[in-house]
Amino acid sequence: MTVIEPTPLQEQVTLLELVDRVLNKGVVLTGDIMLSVADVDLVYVGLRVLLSSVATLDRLQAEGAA
Amino acid sequence: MIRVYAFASQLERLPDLAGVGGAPLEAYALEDVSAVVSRDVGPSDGDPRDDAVAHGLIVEALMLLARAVLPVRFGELLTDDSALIRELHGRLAAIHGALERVSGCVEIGVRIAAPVPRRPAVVAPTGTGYMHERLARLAERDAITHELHECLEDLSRACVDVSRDVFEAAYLVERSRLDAVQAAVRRFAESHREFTVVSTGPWAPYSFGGDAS
Repeated sequence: MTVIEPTPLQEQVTLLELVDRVLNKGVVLTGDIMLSVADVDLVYVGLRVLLSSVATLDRLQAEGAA
Repeated sequence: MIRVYAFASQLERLPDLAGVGGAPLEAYALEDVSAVVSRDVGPSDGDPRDDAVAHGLIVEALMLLARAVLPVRFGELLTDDSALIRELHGRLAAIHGALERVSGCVEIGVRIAAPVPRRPAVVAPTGTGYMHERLARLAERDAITHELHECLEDLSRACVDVSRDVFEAAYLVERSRLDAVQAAVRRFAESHREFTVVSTGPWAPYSFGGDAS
C-alpha cells in the first residue's frame, strides 16, 4: 500500500477550509457570535480578517487596553 | 457561557477531546437528539484560530460517533442551561428534520477559480461598460456552475450554491457515493484546465442545517 502524505500546501488548504466552515457555516443559534481575544470582545466579520490579521487583533487589543 | 458544537442523533459517546479552552465536553440529550457543548469559564485567551480548529475537530470526531451530526457555527454561546434547554426544545423538530436529511451523508466542497481571466480585462470608461463587463463575468460563472451541477446532480442528495466572487458550492453526498462524486469532480477539473478546481472533504454537513438555524 502506498501512503501519500499531504503536502504542506494541502494541509494549509484543508485547515483553511475547516476554519472557513466552522466560522461561516453550521447552524446559527443566536445570530451573533463573538470572538474574545484576552479581554477584548470582537464581533467576527470575516474569515480573511481572522486569518490574516493577527497583527490587527493585537492592535485592537492594545487599543482596548489603552 | 455554554458553547455549542453540534447536534447529534443517536450519539454513542462523546469524543475523547477537550472543548475550546480545555473545557470538558458534555452532552445534553432530548429524545434521541444530543446537544454537544462545553462550559466556557471565561474569555478564551487562546489563539482564535486554534479555538476554531478545535471546534471543527470535535465536529469531525462526532461524525464517527453518531448516526447523524448537524454542526453548529463556531462561536455560538448560550448564557446558561435554561437557554440551552429553550433552544433545543424550540428547535427540536427542525433539528430532527435536518438530522434525518443529512443522515448517512457527508459534505463535499468545490471551489472554482479562474486565476487568469478567460476574457481580456476591459478598462471600462463608463458605468455602462463596467456593467456589461460585470454581467459577462457573471454569465461565465453561471455557465461553469451549471455544468458542475449537472455532473453531480444525480450523485448528490442536495447542493448549496454559496458563490461569492469565487464559485463555491457544497454537495450533500451519501457515503456510498463519495468515490463516484470525487471521480466526477476530477473529470470536471481535467476538462476545465483553465480553471483552478479545488475539492475538499468529506466534511460534516455544515451547509445543510436548513430550518434548524
